[in-house]
Amino acid sequence: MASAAPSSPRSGTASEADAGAGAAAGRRRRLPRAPRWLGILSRCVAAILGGYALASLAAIAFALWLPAARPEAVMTGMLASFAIHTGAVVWVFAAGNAWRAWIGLLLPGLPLAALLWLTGGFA
Amino acid sequence: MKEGFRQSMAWLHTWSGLLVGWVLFAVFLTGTAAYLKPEISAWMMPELRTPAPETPAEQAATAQALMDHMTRTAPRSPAWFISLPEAREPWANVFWRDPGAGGRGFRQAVLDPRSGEPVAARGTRGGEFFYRFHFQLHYMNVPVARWIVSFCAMFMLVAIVSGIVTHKRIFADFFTFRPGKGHRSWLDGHAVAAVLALPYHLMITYTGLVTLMFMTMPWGGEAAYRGDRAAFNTEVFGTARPARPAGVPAPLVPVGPLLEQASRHWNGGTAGRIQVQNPGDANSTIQLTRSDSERLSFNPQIMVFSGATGALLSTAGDDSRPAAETRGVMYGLHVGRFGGPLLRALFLLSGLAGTAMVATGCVLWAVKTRQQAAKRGRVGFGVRLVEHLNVAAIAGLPVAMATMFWANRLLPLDLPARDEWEIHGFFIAWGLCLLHPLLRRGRRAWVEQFAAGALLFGLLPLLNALTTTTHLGVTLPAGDWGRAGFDLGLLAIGLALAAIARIVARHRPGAAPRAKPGAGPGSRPGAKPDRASQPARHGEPVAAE
Repeated sequence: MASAAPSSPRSGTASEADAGAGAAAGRRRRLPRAPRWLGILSRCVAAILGGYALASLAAIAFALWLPAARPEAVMTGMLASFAIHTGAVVWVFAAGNAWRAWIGLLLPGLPLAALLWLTGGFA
Repeated sequence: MKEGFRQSMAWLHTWSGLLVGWVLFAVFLTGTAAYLKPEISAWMMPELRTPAPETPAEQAATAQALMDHMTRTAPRSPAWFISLPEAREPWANVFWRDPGAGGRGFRQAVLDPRSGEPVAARGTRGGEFFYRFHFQLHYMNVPVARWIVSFCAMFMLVAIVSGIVTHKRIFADFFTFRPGKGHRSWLDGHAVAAVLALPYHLMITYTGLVTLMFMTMPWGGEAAYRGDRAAFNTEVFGTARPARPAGVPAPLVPVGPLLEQASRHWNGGTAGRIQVQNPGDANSTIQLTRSDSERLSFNPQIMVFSGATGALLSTAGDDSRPAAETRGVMYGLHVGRFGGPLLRALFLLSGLAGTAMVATGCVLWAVKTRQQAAKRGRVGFGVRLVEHLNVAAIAGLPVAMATMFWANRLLPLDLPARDEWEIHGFFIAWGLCLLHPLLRRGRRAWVEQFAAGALLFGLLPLLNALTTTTHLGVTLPAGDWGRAGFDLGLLAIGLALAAIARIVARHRPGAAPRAKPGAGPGSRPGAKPDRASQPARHGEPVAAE
């Protein structure tokens, strides 16, 4: 059910309503003490840019490391990237707080980037 | 923990769906119309009467006539692109490179499917406009627009996945519809439209992203090919780099035998497109691409011949490998050009269900939020903005689409840039629909725009009868079901919009006991019910605030 419409007492503008919806969704106050809108903004950046970066890294890893013909490996990575991005977005908004959301992206992202860098994937 | 997950997914579903909902609605509706691209183009070019060639001999004669025409009109062009006439598209679209032409350096013409001569068809983009709009919008830089649509499609994918998680009782809700119960009804309608064609929605969204993936996700290719685009294109698409012209003139060989050879190679398949590089040069090539309506996969099957000798130079796409074939099938599923009329009709219905899913989702948000705001006694700007945009996007787009059809029939035939003016008409009408809710608030705006759409669509067959000789009075007795069906379809759309307008006009939010006045098409945003527009009918009490 799409029952998470905002119930903010001050849903004046769309962005305020945005922040208020966080309160509705997470009545248990999982977010840290930082202003709620900051956590949501952080998650949005993590989901859109961080998720895209993770999907791109995975696509490169497929393209370089998949034991298949070069165009096949490249295309497999591209095809899978949107599913990976979607998974990343789901994780970012399911995580207990914005910090965990970022950590969850960096945990697979950083080693992957490091390995690609060490093996000359970015050359 | 599980409830927490579901709650956060509900939040994600709401916002990922709402923030780009209006773009998604337009993309879904125009994309659905794009399934009928050839039929729309045929309606918009009533001057085209010649049926497409049917037998292989006729097809070869047509292809040769088209090549001869191009040889006469564009002998110095570096490349020609000819799409051959087919049953659904009984005309030939030709493009050719012309360094002297403006824009991207192409010229274009519509040629007769028998004689190969230009047809005096009115200037129109036809169904091509809806097709292009649904992934690259209009009046915009093409790559930027495609990025915007891809970005919104990603939101759609997230909204679908989080919506599935959110939805606890996906099977039970399939059979649940509670009409006249305020936001509950909108929720049920939203769920039915979503669940009914859920595999289609997932498929069309993911495959839509795949069609643009070489632009949005190029990094794997960049890394594996070290930025060598030409090598990438050669290996991935099987297209050879165009040879340089030799500077030695040599006439093109007849195309008939090449078509025959290709048909044998493809086990009886037919060519859909001909591409000629360096025509008239000793290094010319003739590339035949198999018609995409014959196969599910969109991975093109290609044969390249020497234009000077007719020798086969290369073939591609015959033995697709798994990932390439996966992409080809996804692409083919998205464009839906395979399959017979029944399957296309199902795709059309599913596309309409997707459109309804987006529309009901946007309305649901407005209804629920207004209810909550009304409890607190103050309705904010955000709700009003969403309500306004809902009217303009959902009820306004059909008005704009119908206006383009009217412009097609009414604009003078010799108007310069006539095809562009048809499209300007589309956007002018849509712009008026965006302004209209400022003057007519709430439910009246919905009713008036749906009614306008109903009139515009419903009267199109009449307009067609007044302006052409291919109207229902002729096509029905002649049994021309293609043309007659399109006119009847326009009439049906008009009736459907009229029915929606009537339901919205008659609906009283008070019909649901205890339900607060909502903010959807079935309600008005005023804090108090307007008795003039909501008379108590059938003795039912008007709901108290």
